Amino acid sequence: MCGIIGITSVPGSLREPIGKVVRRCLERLEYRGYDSVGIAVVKGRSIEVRKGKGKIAEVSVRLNFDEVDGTTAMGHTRWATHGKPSDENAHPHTDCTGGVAVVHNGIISNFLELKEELIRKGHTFKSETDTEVVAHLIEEYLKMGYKPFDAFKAALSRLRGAYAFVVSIAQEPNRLYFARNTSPLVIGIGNGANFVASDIPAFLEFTNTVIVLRDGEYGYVEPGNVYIEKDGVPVNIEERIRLISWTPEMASKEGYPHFMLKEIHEQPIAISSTLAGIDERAFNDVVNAVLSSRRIFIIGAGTSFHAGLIGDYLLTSMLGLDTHALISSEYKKYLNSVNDNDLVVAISQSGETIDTLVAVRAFKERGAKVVAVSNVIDSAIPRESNYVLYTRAGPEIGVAATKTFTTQLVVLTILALKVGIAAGKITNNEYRDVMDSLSKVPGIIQSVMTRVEGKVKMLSEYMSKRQNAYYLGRGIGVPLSMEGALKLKEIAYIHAEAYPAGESKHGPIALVEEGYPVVFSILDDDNVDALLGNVMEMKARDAYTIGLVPEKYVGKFKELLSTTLEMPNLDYRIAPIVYIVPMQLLAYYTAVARGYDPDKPRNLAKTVTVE
Amino acid sequence: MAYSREIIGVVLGGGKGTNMEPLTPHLEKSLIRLLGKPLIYYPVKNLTQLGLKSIYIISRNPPKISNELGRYFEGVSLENIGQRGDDLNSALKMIGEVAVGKGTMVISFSDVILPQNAYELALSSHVNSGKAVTVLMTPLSDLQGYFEVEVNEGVSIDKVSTHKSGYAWTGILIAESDFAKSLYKSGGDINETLKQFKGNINVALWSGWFVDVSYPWDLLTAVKYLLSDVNETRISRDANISPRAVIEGPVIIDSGARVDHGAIIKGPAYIGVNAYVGNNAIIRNSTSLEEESVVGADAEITESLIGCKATVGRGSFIGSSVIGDESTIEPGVVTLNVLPSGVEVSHISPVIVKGKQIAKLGAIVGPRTRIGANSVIYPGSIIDANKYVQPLSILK
Repeated sequence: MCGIIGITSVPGSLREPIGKVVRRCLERLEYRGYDSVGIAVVKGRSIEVRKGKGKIAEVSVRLNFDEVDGTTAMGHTRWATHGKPSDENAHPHTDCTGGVAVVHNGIISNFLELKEELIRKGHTFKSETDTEVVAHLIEEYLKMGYKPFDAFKAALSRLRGAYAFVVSIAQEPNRLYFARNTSPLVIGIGNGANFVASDIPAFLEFTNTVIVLRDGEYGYVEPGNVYIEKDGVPVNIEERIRLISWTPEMASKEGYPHFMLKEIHEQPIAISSTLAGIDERAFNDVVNAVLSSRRIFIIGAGTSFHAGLIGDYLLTSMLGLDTHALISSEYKKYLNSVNDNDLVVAISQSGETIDTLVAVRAFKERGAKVVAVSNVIDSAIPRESNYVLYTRAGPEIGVAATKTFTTQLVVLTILALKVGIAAGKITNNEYRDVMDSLSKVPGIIQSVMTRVEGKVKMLSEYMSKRQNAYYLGRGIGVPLSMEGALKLKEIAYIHAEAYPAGESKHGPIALVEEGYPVVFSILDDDNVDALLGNVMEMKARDAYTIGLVPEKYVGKFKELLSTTLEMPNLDYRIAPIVYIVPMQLLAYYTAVARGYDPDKPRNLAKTVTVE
Repeated sequence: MAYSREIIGVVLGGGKGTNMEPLTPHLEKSLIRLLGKPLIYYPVKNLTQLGLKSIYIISRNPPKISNELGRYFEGVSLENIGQRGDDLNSALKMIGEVAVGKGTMVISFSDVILPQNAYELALSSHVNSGKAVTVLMTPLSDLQGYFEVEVNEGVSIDKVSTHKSGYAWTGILIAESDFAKSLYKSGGDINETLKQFKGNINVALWSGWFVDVSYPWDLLTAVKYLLSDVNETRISRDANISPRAVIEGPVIIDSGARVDHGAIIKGPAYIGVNAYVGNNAIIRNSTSLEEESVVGADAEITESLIGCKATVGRGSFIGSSVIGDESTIEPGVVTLNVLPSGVEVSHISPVIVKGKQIAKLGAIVGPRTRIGANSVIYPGSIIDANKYVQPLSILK
């Protein structure tokens, strides 16, 4: 995902430098990506580009966006997909002459062949992005004598994939070309200025008169003029203009009231992308590193720590490796014993978590090798690590981690399986079976959500009136429960505690009274009968028992559970990826029922960069 | 005809309301009052708060609706159209007629109530999606009696007759004119039209509260949620409140209402225009007393809707019940309101009280009915309009 904006204006109509206007529009698009940012302003017959890696607030000051003046400009805020975040890979991208500039959101699937063709024709590429081919392609058609609009259309006809573009061609300094296919793009018709952007809030400060583009449409904006066509046929602009009479602050959430709910629902896609983006070479290197290590430390903070505990469970119980999962800030416990025979797996969504970074540096100094698991390409922890495994969850805005947790689990589970087969601890058949089930997880999560979301919403009305809850499980269900409890704590502000179910009678059960909610994660493993006893002991104390139960055990548990959330029968190794989803939903709906904003939990920040 | 850049609203209020008996047909369903306003006021209000200036209302009795609604909406053009046919299809088909020469339409059923945010979510998501139609859905634990939205390769909307959880259509649909035209051509067949627009459909998910008023008891849910959005107490300057009355929590007391000595009102609650609450009566949470209703001394009312000009006699207990307009509950009547376990009623989801799931429903008493003194009404009883029930009756 990326955010794009283009502005064409009559001189003086904006009343401030255009660079400043573009910067403000980009700030409203920051939710679409924030690893690098750039602007391009048409200056006479050339185009001035300022771009760099980093957040808008930082880059715009460093490169002084606010002082750049002109009448036609565009901007881009990036979330890296092709090529790491860097100054070169930031948009806008230009052709060899500097007379064509492009900003793009989406993926051009045939860019490699186009790039080869253009290199053969003598074009020099400055970045690793798919976007740059568009600039060179237009340049190529301009060289062949095409008029700019024809060159733009000719280039478009060569592209495959999902995209939204804004293109500036210096020969026509007052015009911006655009095209939409799958990725969102809207036009704003203002007084003396026209806009084209990824969403309406980007330019709502200037105009509420909009045209929403449909897939396959392309055209151009000039000050006082909009032209759109599709398949060569002009579109009747008048029919498409709409006045926005309300404040569409929710637009950016694409059909969900909160980012957290959007991100919970995005998990099937995020997992599919992570599975599709598995880099076999990177995994092989990590597998070898694991096998040649004496011990493995898995470090992380918050949700990443819980993912680490699940990874630890698989490596220890399935493969018998000497693994220790620890909370990043507690790394000092092991510091004395760490040496170059050890491997550290550092998990951080942002790749910038300071506690984890500090631990990585300390362990590395003692000679340990480091594997980073992160969602942000080329962030601090991946840069300082020996190996990197990326999750491909896309940007996560909700402070409570959801899709990044499940994609971390996917990566860690695959790693454990690959180590298992390389070490001869699991059979080829077992490997194939689990990998096969893993590929079905996106569809399974989809159907589980459809089945339980309504039930969970109803349950949340009860939860919202409670002050405490227990989350219990056994085996791999323990870290799973810890994550479920964390979600409830951090966004619904209900005190929730997770511990191994066998511990109840050693103390915690003293707190249980009538109506006390206890959430059980019951997996299809060898703990089912023991858990049955644990559910009974809670039921006997009139607790409100909630169970996530595999279909085949529903009969066994139903009578003992106040609320049964039926789950599919799943291999225990992949069950946590699915089981966490109803718990995320429970936390979400409970927060909503209590009147809290789940996207902005009090006292918390998305990325913790202070120790 | 000049093309309209404005987004218009369409409210479908032409249902017969058969499920609402015995409250209908005494009163048109969309004119049943909640918190002093007719049911249809709420979706129309939501649409006007989106900034829509032009709203079309398709109903069975346009002059009456227009008469009732006009006073609430200044500066908004309300166009009332008579519906041909009784079913949803005929109503949806008529949208195609309204669509001529218009752009985007926000369509809402007249009998659904949602917070304003839900409408904003649907419209924002629609205009950013660039699709021909947007369906707003919400998760429910029991879909029986609702329209289920299924999203697979395409999107379908079907009425559900079994108890299962899933996503229900909220009755909100946002359509571009080409979708409305196809809806017309297909005779109002929404699924057929959705099939034609496969790949061009946007779905939005609402996670907050939602009420679809199909059955009389849905009015109780509507009262509960409408009152849950009341954050402060508002007492009309014309209301007459005894200095010895206790008013706690958010309560709206309308003009001319009287609250007598010793009465207790524990909000959230609504006391309507010229309503009367007698000595030592207790009005508990989620209760709405409509215009000119009377609650006698020592009566207790909780989670109920007391219709216009209805009377609850002294010492009665009314819980989770709807008392129709102009009905009289004589002194000492008791409604029981916990449904026996195993009884499943459409649209009633259990609540959890002290860790036990129970479903609550008291009595539905039709308009102009009189329930004799000291009668006992069993949970879930429905009593017809214009009836006389002898004192000391036991009603099951």
